[in-house]
Amino acid sequence: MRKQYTVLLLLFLILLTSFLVSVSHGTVKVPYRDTVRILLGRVTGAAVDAADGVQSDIILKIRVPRVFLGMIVGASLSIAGLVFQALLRNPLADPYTLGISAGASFGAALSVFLGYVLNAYFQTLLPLFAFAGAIFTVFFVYLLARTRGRVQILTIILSGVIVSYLFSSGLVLIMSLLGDRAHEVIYWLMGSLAGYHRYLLPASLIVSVFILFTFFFFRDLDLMALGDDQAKSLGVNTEFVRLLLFSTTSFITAISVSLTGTIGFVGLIIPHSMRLLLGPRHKILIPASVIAGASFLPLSDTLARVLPGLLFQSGMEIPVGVITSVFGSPFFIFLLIRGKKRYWF
Amino acid sequence: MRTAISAEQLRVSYDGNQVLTDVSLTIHEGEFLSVLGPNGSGKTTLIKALTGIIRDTGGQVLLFNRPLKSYRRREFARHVSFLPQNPSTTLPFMVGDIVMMGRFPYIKRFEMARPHDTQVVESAMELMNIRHLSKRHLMELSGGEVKRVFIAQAVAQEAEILFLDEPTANLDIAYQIEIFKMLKKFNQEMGKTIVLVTHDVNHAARFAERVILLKDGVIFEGGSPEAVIRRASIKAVFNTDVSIQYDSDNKPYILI
Repeated sequence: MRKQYTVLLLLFLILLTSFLVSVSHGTVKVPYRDTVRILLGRVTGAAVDAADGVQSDIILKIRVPRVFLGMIVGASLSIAGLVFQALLRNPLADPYTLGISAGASFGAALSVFLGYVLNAYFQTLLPLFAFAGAIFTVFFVYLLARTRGRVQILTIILSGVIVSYLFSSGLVLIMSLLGDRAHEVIYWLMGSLAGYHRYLLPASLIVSVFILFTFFFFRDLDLMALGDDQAKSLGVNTEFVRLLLFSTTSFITAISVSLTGTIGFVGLIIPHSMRLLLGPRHKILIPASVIAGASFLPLSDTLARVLPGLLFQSGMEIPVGVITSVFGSPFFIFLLIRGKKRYWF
Repeated sequence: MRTAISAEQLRVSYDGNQVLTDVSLTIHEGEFLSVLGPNGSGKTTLIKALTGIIRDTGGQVLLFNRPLKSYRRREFARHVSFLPQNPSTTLPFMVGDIVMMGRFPYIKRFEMARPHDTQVVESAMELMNIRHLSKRHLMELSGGEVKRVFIAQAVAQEAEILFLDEPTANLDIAYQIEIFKMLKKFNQEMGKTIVLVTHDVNHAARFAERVILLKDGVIFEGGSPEAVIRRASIKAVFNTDVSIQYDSDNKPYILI
């Protein structure tokens, strides 16, 4: 027990470090001391030297929103993966199992396509289209999987796969119709924390509330590992809890996807890593996954921004999804080998 | 004796296949009841319908004279606990955590476990003789130990009525007898109502006060073990010839 809280404290320190590192590094490197001074100045309202003006702008107007977006999305994807794996009792479940990513991609592509047809530019509307696409898909998958008021686990996974294929083919169709402008969709599909900071405030409020709400179902999630029959006989209203948590986690996943595109792997490796480190109890797994996800994604994004410069003196950015898998999988394999004896799924 | 659970005209079907047909049954408080029947006769379905795991049934089930469907799951779980046939043995939880899950119906959503819950869990583990295992992982235990862990969980649930689906399946004789003796103790010393599905006719006859024979989704016969376990009824339900003997307490047992 004490070990678990120590790990939680450590994760929190990692989160702070991740924030500081992510805000300081980039094409323009700001020394940590200056970063702290600028951030504290913002908080306390102290005046900033004129010489620091540019650095201050870079940090406060460009990097802080980006890092915050990364934290929110990382936390959302991690808790969504954790909850999906528990609800579906399936280690391969991730936030996109119910077709959210395919639906969001289709919505995003549709907005670009409409902009093309109407000769307008719908860039700020793109997240809203993506969000609508994601929510619509989840709804569709759920309706498809529901038979006589009940939802079978395997049916819902299968429905998710089928609906994903359906929307993916729709996506391909739109991209082929778009011709040259398909690159706008492709850029979005690769996943990036660069845009849509205007939606940051409402998104972070909603996500925080939903994460807190989900936390109070930690006991239900533990019991559902026993299987539905036993969970029911112990007093868990499994059908209701599943419907409720599917809705909340799908909602925050949809928000994340619509703001950043599909960022893979976070929802898979963060929850599994936390299970390997901390065991199966959701009371500790939920906060741990949230904090770990919020540290991991901004760090990955920082690498995506800094690496091309270091390696090729190039100003381009690597898609953050590439970084999450390239650096995430070896770490995950390390944990898996180390904790093999104890791991279940 | 007060009625604990009563079923009236209970019907359950899966995809058009009628599994239970008009089963009416009364279970009294403090009773030790055993349900016998061949594979596929509807035993597990009957138990699932009586414990509210299947709620999509025809007819009606009453718990303490109130319709089962009017109970919230948490409230129901304070009265009735159920040990399924094959509880998962590969869970990553520690024994203490598993037993603590039995307290779920008592701990409110925004509260933590109280000292009383911990006490109940400790004494349930004491009773089932698994206290020394409390920090061990479930998957490191033997089949018999796992069964005891889940019985301890049911004990921690503090329900008056305990349903068990083949609790002695896959256990050696020593464990089988130990578990039956334990259930008898719950029944006689703690006043629990026990309803047990079993394949072991001899154990049912030895420990239960009342036996029900289920065949093709209907109750073929019910009554005291002496009255029900006869050559003719076993032949009719199980379609096999056996010889019935009686032990020193005049309880019937079968020889195959």
